[in-house]
Amino acid sequence: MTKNEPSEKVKELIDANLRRVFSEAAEEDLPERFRDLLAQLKETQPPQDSGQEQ
Amino acid sequence: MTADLPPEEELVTHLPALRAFAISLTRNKSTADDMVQDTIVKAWTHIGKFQPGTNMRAWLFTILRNTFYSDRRKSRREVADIDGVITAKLAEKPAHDGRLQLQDFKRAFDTLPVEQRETLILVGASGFSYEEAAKMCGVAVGTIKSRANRGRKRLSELMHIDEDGPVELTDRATMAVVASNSGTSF
Repeated sequence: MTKNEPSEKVKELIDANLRRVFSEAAEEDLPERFRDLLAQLKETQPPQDSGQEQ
Repeated sequence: MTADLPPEEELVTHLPALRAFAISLTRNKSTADDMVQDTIVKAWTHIGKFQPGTNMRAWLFTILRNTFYSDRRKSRREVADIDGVITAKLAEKPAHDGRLQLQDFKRAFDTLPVEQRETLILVGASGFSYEEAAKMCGVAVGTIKSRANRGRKRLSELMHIDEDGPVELTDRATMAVVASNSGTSF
């Protein structure tokens, strides 16, 4: 197990890139079908009142 | 603030991150969308099992990764679905354009084994702790640490980041970050 851990510097650089790639993907518009699916779920399986009724 | 939302509404706020996680696992947007769709249905149906006050994102990510691995087992499809990015080679020379640098980084990332991609997205990009990631993946903390280290190491090699020298602005990874930061107005 010699020197298998990247340095802090490299780690930070890699992680900054990872965050960028991830947030770029998360900024994309969601497909329309998700909205349709959620609407459908709301109708067929309405949320239960979990103690916070009205 | 999402803490006070009813779970069904909070769920919706996590979808962009959930989809980004799915894309990094599958490397294919349409497969990712199918997986997110399955996850939405499962989460909605079992929303009563979610414990309010705990981390819903972790809960959703866990459902999604379980879906991913069980689909993979079923189809025995190792890496069949690829957007065509994986085989693409990294540019010979670092490009001057930061967007290209980030593309290179993505390609390099996509060549990593799935366990390393998953780990790096959880601990490197999403801010989960090693302990949380270990719980989500059902493995030991040491396993997560070693996957993260191997993944970062491999990426630094692919991106030609010199471990010993100072970070030069010509490094691909540096350029990618610099360029992307200058593009956003904070």
